[in-house]
This record gives sequence, C-alpha cells and structure tokens, in this order.
Amino acid sequence: MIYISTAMYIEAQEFIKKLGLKRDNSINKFEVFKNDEVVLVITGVGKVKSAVALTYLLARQEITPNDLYINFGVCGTRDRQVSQGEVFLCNKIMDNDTKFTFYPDILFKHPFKEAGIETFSTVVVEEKAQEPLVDMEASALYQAASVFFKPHQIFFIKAVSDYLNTENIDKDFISNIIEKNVDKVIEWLNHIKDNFHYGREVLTQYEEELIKKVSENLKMSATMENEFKQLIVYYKLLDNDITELLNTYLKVECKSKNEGKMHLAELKRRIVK
Amino acid sequence: MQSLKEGLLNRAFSHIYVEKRAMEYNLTKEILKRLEGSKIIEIEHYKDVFSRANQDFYLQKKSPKLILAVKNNNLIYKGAEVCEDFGNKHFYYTSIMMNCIYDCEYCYLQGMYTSSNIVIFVNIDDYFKEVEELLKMHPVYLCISYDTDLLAFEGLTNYVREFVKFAKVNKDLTIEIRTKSANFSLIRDIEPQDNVILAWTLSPDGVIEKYEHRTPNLKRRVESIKEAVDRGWRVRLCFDPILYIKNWREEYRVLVEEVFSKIDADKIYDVSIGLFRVSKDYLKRMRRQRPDSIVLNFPYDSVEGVCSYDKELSENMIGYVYSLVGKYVDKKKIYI
Ligand code: SF4
Repeated sequence: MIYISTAMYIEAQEFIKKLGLKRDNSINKFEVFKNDEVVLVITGVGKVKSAVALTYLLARQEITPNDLYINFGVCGTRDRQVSQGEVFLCNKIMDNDTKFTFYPDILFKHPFKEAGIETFSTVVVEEKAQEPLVDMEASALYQAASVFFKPHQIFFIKAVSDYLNTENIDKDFISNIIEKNVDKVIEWLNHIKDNFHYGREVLTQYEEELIKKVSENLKMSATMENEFKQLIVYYKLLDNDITELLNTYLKVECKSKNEGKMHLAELKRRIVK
Repeated sequence: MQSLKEGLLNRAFSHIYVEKRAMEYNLTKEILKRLEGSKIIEIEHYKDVFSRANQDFYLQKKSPKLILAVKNNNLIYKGAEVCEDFGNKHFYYTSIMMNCIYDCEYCYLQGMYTSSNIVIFVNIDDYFKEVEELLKMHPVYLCISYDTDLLAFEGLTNYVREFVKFAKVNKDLTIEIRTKSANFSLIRDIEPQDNVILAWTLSPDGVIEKYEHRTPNLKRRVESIKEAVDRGWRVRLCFDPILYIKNWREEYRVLVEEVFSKIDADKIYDVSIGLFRVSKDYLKRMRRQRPDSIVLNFPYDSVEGVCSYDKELSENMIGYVYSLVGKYVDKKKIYI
C-alpha cells in the first residue's frame, strides 16, 4: 500500500483524479481518499495538524515492509536559482524550532533533484532558513511516519511554489505546478511498487499455526516453543519438507513439559546431524 | 520471498553524509573528490544518521552510504576477554571505521550496529596521539581492522599505509590488520615491518560464495597472501569463523590443502582457528535482520550469553581443522 499525505486539497486533487481515489466515508475526522493500492489523507497545514492526521490514519492500518509513505506538496525556497515548479526529494529535514534533523534513507533511485527542507511553525517571510527548501509540516510528519515506517520507506516530495513571498501566489498557479509534476511522481511510485517485494518471512501463516498446535500438544513453555520454531525454520531453510515433519509431531501428545523437552532434544539431534 | 529488481536501488555511496567539522580534513576532501557525483549532505553529528531508530541493515547493505566524521574520545578500546589476544598483555583495538563493504551473513556487526552505512573517522592523527599516550606506559598490541575491513577500503582511505608508517616509528606498537580483501597490491610498495601483522580470514569457496557476499574468492585472497609473504610481511592466517556446513570436513580439508599448496607454511607468522561465536543478544538482532539465513538460524547452544556450536560439535570441528593445519604449521604457532 502507498500512503500519501498532502496538507491541502489542492495538492491532492490531481492524485485523486489520476489514481481514481474515492472518498473513504468511514473516516470523518479527516478527508481520506483511497483505492486498492493507495490511501491519501489531507492533513491540514502545520506541524500539529499534519502529524495528528497522519498518525490517525496510519494507526488504523497494518503497515508492511512493502508499504511506502509519501508526503507531497508545495514548498518555498530561498534559492532564487531554483525555478518555480521544480520538484525535489528531501534528503534532510530540519525542524526550525528545535533544530533537530531527520534523514530519510535514500535507497531507491528516483528522477528528482534532492535538497534539504526546513520546517517552520509560522509562515516564513524572511530568508532566514538554513536549508534550501521551506515548509510547515515535514519535520512533524517525518516523526509521525517513522513510528510506522523505516527511514527508507518515507519520502518527502516537494514542488517549489515561491521564494518565501507567499502573498503573491494564487491557487491556479499552484494547481498548475502540481498538475505538471504528478505524473512523474505516480510513475515513479508505480515503478517502486511493482519492483519492490520485501517479504522475508520464512514460515507461512499455515506453518506458524501448525507450530503453535504442536507446541500445545507437546506442552512446551514459551522458550521451548521459540526453540522449536527456530529448529523448524532452520530445517526449512535447508530445503526440507517441514509439513511432513510437523505432521508427525501433531500426532504426539505429551503429558508434561519434561516429555516435551525430550522430544525437542531429539528433534535437534535429528536436524543437526 | 523477496525480489528487488536490478537497478531499483541507488549505487553504493550515492550519498555521503559529512559532519560539518569533518569538512576541513584533507581526507574528507580527497574522498569527496574521488567520489565526485555522490550527493553530499552536511550533518551535525554522525550519530544523527548512523544511530537512527528502525533502520534496515540488510537493505542498506545493498545501497550503503558513506558517513565522514570526527571522533573525539574513546578512540582506542581495551580488548574484550573473548578476543584472541595471541599472548599479548596489552591488547587494544580501534574502530577508525565502522562497517564494511562486504556483506558476510554471519557478521556480528549486524547485531552491534543499527545501520550498515559506513562511517570513516577522518581524524587519524588523533588516533595516533592516543596510541602514543598508551605507548608511554607500556607496549601496545592494536587491532585496527576489527569492526570493518580496512584493507578493503584502502583505495579510498590509505589508512593501512598510514598505520604502517606510524608503526615503523613506534617499535613498541604491534598492529594487526584483519582482512578478507585481495588488495595487497595497494600496499605492495610499502616496506614490511616486523611489528605489523596482516591477518587474512580464509574460508572454503563454498562458504565464500554462499555466505561471504561481495568478498574476493579464495584464489584471489591466496594470491594476495602469497605476494605479502614473499615480500617478507608477517602474515597470520585465520580459519575463523569455521562454520558447520554440509560436508564441512571435506570443505575445510580442501581449503587447508589448497592454501598450503600455494603458500609456504614456514613463512606464515601464525594461524588462528575459531568457530562461529556471537553474543546471544547480537544473534537475536542478526536473525531479525536476516530471517532467511541458514548460518544464523542454526540451533546454536548458548553458554553464558555466547552462542556457538555445542561442546561435542565444537571439539570435533576445532580438533579436525587443528589437525589439518598442524600437518603444515608448527603447533606452537597455532592459536585456538
Ligand atoms: S569482512 Fe568482516 S566486517 Fe566485513 S562483513 Fe565480513 S565479517 Fe563483517
């Protein structure tokens, strides 16, 4: 699943349109749109609002190692060399209030430029930022997202809309910038989604259940069950059929933990030899 | 299970994180010049990147980043009890680099560090100063390639060269440089020193292929060793960690025979033999990083917090390899 957050509707509308996202009416505290592969939340502007909305959304989900989180939106820059509409992937996020820094892991190739971004609590009118880009959410969103995701699953993609002189920008101008860039972002996200499958669990759900059952039959303690599972994992990695092995143990019923221990020791001898 | 399409991830060192205070060091400038094209991200402290929570050690190995930093204190550590000290009373080690470009499945660094990004501390002179202070008190035996493979990185740092130079003028210092690399050619021109030991880790080709990802094969390591020995370097051979693998007897017999068919055993300084062993806590974390690793998922015995093969198997394996090596090398020179 890909999770996207934007601060404002205007930053989301192109995603909603192009990805065919539908409003999730089961959530009424925030505007959430989704399809089978993408969930998008409009968080509102500012650190607290955005972190609350994202946390609210993510806390209800089962996040897997294959999932990604993207914050997309417009930002300002103090760098006049950067043209308006240029898109950046942020490789450093600084919180202006605390000066804490956060670093998403840039493991995936991407087609964007890179830069650091600084998050301010109020609208920045002077050119006082240390990082080239400026916004009002990134540092808080990063902290919220990193409760659920690893640093390589978190992306901040920002399109430059202004040179810290926000009063002159109009909505059409922002829409225009976003419209121009959304395709590139979607294409890149799809590329990662299609090529990144990171499930590394050795046992299937069914095998896990069998192990549980055997462990009950053999009156195993939690430590014994772990040891047993470890043996089974090892045995499977050696390319053996563990269902057959587990099925033999399913037929065994122990009267005591000690009896179970003997079976465990026997199994270890059998597997290691 | 997993699939990561070729070309999906950035190349190694696509990004270099540089501490502000490290910027001024010559080594930093040289590395940045050498790795032109990498993105440079200025950071306050290396731990801001290196010690982040919840990093994926395994994936980072596939796209490792470089971190250049300055370390101020605790530059030299006293060796832990579990380390083989080769009869040296004042045994120390240093981590002037953390992590390694190789990717051995059994590497304990996976349990020790939260990140597999590579840190280079660029202030080597401060390390030398700290060693000089120790040398005022007693002779020092220093392992400089413990939590990394320094020779593998020589092309970028020249640290082996610098340490050998330092050892040349500090005769009470003995340094050990442990490696799996085949990079001897990079230090070929240096005059060997009696107080510098190049220690090569050797494994059967089957182990190298399956578990020591990205390391040079046995042939290349042996060629490097041969050249070092022939040029008069002190070379230690480390059959460590010995792993319990299918046909282990045969694999290790072939290894030992192969090595001593190419290298004159009389010219070897000494040999160390050891089994895979790792702290219980590290192993737990290592298994989490690599849930599908055969080596890590072996049902090891845990004795006083250290996991290794059970007593019987340990004695069998060590005894066997010891007897193989003993055919070539004087037993007084074999450390277990
Ligand atoms: S060479 Fe040594 S430090 Fe490097 S990955 Fe292998 S075991 Fe770890």
